[in-house]
Amino acid sequence: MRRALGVVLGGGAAVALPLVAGDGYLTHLAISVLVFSMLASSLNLLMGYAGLVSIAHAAFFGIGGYASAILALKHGVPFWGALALAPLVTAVVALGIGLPSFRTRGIYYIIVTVAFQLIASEVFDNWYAMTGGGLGLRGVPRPGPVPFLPGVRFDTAPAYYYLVLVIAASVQALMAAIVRSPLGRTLMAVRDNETKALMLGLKPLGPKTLAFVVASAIAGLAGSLYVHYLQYANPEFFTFAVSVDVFLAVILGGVGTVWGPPFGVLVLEVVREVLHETVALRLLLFGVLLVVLIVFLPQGVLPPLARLARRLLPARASAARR
Amino acid sequence: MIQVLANGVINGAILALMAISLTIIFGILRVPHFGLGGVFVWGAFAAYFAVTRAGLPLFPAILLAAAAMAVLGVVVEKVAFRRLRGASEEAMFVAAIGVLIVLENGALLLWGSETRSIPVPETLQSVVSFGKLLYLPAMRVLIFVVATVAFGTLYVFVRWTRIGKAMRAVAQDPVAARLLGVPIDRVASATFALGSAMAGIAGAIVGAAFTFNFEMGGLSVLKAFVVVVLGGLGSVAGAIVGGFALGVVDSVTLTYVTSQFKQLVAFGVLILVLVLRPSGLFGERSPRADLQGRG
Repeated sequence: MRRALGVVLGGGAAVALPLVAGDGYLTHLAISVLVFSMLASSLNLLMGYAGLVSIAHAAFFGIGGYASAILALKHGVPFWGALALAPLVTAVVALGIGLPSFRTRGIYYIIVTVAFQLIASEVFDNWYAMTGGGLGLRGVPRPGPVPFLPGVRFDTAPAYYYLVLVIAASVQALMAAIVRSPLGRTLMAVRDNETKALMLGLKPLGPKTLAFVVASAIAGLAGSLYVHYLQYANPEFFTFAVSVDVFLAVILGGVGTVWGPPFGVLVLEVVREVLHETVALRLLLFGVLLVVLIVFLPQGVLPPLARLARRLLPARASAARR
Repeated sequence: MIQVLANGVINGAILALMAISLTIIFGILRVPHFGLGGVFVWGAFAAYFAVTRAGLPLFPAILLAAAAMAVLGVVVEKVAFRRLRGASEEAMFVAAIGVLIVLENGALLLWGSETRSIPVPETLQSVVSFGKLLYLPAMRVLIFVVATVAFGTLYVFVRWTRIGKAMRAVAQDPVAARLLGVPIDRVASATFALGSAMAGIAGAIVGAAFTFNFEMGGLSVLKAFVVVVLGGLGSVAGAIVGGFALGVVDSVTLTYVTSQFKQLVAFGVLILVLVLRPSGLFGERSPRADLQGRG
């Protein structure tokens, strides 16, 4: 009941936003929030359910973005083709790096992801022939006409917003479905106690690999959406710092909750807007936030907020939740 | 060729200093303290202000930077890591990254983004020649000397002082050490002080021999981690050997192979070593076995 109310309110606001904001800055921000919530949700699949703490998500975001931009600019692939191929390219790369990296554990796994992120950043920055180096790739096209649906176009910001909204909502639905599926259950069992899961006869490698590839493909999809919206791909969009931002959003919202990570992205975006003139101060605050969260609130802010809301609204709390 | 090797050895000395500070904190307390990158930067700033504002000579300034960073290290341990004792490596890593971001951006807010260099006396600006084969700026020779003295001091400290013995006991078995009455909080403070002082010295000598700015810490601490992994986590000898090895490899790659993809080699090696030989080249135990042992 309360949940349905939340969905109606949130969904209504999301659908109505461009009608109010039009082509303006708010729509631009909203697109960015949606793209990053896809990133945060897919990273949460790794961190929250598969137990893989990764600081390389911006690398996969970038691989998808560059793949899409290169396909569109150098091979004349239309937007819709590039949007479909970018996650595939990202998934293949993820499979290549993912399988060997699962040999490592704990801090070593994190370090492999950090190293991969830095290597990817260096490639984006220096492989002039493909990525345009520090100048990036300009003129990435906005979507052309939709196949089989003449007259439907997504080339303005509000229209593009709806496209991203539908895709981001699908990603959320996919996440909720994965968590409830046998795949999600296996991942959580392995995350909580690998030895016990092995004794129960679960085989972690397949599910882990699948989660990693799916999460990376979603990051690639987000990258494709991002560069086609900005019509520009640049190494600065896909750095270590961006990986840490996404990571912080997941921890802030709540690791291992379906709606926490998008909520974390939203909060961080508001902070970013408020402090947009003093980047150093914002980053300092983010650093403090990382320490405070991990020490005092490792489950993030959404679960306690939800508990608080339930306590304040006891009559509705008995209705089904989650 | 000899010149290239010598440059590598000198960069290796700095890497080894950073790697040792990482490895003692990880080896003793199991804390992957990437915040040392920030301490490295603050050490450089501390020495810089000791020379420019207080007018101290270079060596006292380096010592002062080391002392100041030791204090900073104790504070960082109390604020960020004490409550996380016994938490997962992932949690501690998150806190460490937070500390790194805070220290780097704190330096940016306090002292700005310009690239600086610690002024050195003129006697140190000369070039030393070694039998006409090799020419090195005196500052770089000094790096080597300071690093060696720091290694020696560390060895003596950990080997023969009471708190040094306590540190080794905690490294071997924290639970048993605690049962035998080793004051774990004091050991943690001392370990962070020691590691941070080493990182501060590394920052100060880099700032004097080269240039520094607020954001040089992140990359150098990651490089240092490559070294630590090469040498085997928790192995001080491994950190020294690994430091020199990576310094030479870096220098050779830069000169003969590619300057465009210079980090790629270091981090590619890191991934390969972690995947193929997780215990490092000199490590005694596999981190995976270790992890299973601790549940």
